[in-house]
Amino acid sequence: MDIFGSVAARLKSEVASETTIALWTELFEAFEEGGPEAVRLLLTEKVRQSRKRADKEVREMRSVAGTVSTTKRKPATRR
Amino acid sequence: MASPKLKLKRIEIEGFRGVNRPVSLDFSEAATFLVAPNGQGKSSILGAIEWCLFGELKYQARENATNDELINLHSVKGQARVRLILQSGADGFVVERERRIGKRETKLRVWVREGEVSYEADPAAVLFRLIGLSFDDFYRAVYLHQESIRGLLIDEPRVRDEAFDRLFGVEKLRDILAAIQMRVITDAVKEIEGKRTRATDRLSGAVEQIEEQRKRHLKEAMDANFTEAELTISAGIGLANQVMQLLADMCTATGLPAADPVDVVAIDDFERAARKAKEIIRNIRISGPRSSGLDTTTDQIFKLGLLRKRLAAAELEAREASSAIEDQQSRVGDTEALGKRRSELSTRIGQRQQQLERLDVRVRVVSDAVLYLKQVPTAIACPVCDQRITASNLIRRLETETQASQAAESQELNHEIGETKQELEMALEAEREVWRLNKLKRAADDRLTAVFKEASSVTGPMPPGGDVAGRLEAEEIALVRQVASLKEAQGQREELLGNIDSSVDRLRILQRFLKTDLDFVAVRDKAPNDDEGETDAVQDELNALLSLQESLEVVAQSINSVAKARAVEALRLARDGISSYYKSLCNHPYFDGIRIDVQDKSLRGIQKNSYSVQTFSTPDGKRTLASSRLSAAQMNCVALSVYLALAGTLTHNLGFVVLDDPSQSLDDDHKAALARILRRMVPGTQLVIATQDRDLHGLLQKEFSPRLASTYGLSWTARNGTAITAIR
Repeated sequence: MDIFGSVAARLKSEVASETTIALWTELFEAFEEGGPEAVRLLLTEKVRQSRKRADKEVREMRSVAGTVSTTKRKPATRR
Repeated sequence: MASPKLKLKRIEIEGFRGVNRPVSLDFSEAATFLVAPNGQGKSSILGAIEWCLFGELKYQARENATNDELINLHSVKGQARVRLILQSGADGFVVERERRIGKRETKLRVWVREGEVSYEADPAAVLFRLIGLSFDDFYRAVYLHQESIRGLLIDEPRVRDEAFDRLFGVEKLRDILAAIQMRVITDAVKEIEGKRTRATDRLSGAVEQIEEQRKRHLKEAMDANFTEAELTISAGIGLANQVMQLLADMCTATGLPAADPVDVVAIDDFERAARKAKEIIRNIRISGPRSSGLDTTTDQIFKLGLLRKRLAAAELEAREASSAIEDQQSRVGDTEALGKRRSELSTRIGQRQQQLERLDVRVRVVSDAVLYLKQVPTAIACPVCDQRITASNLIRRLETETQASQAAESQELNHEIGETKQELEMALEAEREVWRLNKLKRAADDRLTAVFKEASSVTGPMPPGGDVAGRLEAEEIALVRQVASLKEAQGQREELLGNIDSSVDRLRILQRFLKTDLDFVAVRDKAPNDDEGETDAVQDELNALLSLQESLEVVAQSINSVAKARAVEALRLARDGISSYYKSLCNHPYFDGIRIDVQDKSLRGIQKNSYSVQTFSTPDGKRTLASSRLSAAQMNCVALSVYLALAGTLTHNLGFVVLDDPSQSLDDDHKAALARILRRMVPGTQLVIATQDRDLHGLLQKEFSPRLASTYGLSWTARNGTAITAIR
């Protein structure tokens, strides 16, 4: 059995989730396509996308929070 | 019955690496030796086999996308072409691969030699099915490359482990494992968690604040007489449309141009509508009195007032002038009487002056007579009256009479003339006064006429002697009534405007509440309620990352397990072979056995296979690390033993083994042992051996009869590339 099949079989034997098996498939395909750098890029891209979505959401949260006008303290009168 | 394994029959090469001009080589069924010094093209010919079968070279790193280094520098066609003829029993297969300079893809053709059946559709798949071997396994099972041996000889454990991994076919797993960097994920998780915490804190604060605001605006709306049911967008839209309609009606009523309609469909339109409404209200207020005629009427009243004042003044002036004239006339008479009097006085003055002149003449006559009588004293008669008298008597009498009457009469006449002149002067003065008063009267009359004329433009034509002032007063009273009526209408309009203005203010209050309410809902919905187990999108992303991390850990564990299991299994299968080859090839006087174990090794958080190569002495039971005790040549023997043993464990369809310079660092005894081992592999395995080692070649010639082996010599020139010469 090739190494892809071996790892997939191992994952199945350990009752890994479908997501995990799909991730392994993705990693292996990326490696076949472009070597270790492609794997790194794949993971970095996944993290980047997740971070991007989270950042967008955080920005929205901040934006929603920012719609509430904050009362500013008047500056002390300069004598 | 399984078909026999594929063996090399013939190779034809053109323009590939060190080979330029077309060369061909027929392989012996048992063994083919390529013997030549370094740099003559041995590795190019072995590489041509590898490239023809797989389209790439394991140990030649790509320097660019097209990897044009594969093609000979002097190739006229600018292409590399290798044709490999494989034989399996009676069947022959032809594999041909071409590549042009500057192109990324190679052109592969595979066909069955008998009948020339070509596999045009998917030659790569056909080829894979034929040889039954992946590119990576080719290096483990078929092609002992110089680099494979070199890796095992290096002292550095990391490099040696990698070389073993390659031999056991787990280097891909190792590379994939190394490429999985958990830190990228953990860093991202930390960062996102921090951002989320800060954002949710801010949101929580915002929820409290906007809740307060909402309460305040709700109270404001209630104070503005909104019921809870009315606190809706549709109610706001209705209110805005109602306000705009009322204002449009008012614009029409006041003659103002209709304002542009405001399309109110959302909360944000309320403020636009309110601003527009305020603008229209302001315009109506500014232009209201003007457009209703109040301004004009008030202006008319003012003008009438002025006119009436001027009329009164003119009438008074005219009356005073008439009164003054009457008074003057009563005192000095009218102009006619005054003229008559002036005439009488003038006549009298003339008469008196004539009398005075006559008197003067008489005096001068008397004087002349006296003078005459004095000069003619003898005269006895009066020269005037011819009376008989003596001159001297007459002189006395004339002088007496003349002197007495002349003085009195002259004085009286002069007195009378003086008085008459004075009287005349007074009469003239009175006449001038009358003239002046008449002039004043005419001027007053003119002014009065002008005022009348002006008044008649207001009151309409008046009959002579009409009551202009009365008419003006009546007109003013009418206007004042009209103003009162207009003011009342304006008051009503102002009241309506005030109501609309209040509605606009209510609209703004409603907008404030609705906006705050919407913000409140948005903020509340956005703020996750951790107590109730709610998650937000950020938390979902965090969970996804954590899930990815977890999956990667599972994958990494599996990869590591598989890598280790494969290495262990490969070693288990090859253990006996390795020992056997080691004993025959190395023939160490003390360490007669070898053992390779696999262990886990954690390197920067990544589990990797670590190989321990130990030699041992069977009689003494002593064991030691091979790399610390064995020479380079002996280690080379270890490497060859591992390679040859592993090559025998893999199942595939290729019946040949390619060895590139296998005798590195070996002494004569080891070379002889290697030659013997290789001989034992024939006829089961076809051998293709490239060597620059003439000693090894000699030993191989001893082991292999000319019937079993073909030997080729190679020579190389820059223009032509490698040339092949059959030696034996």
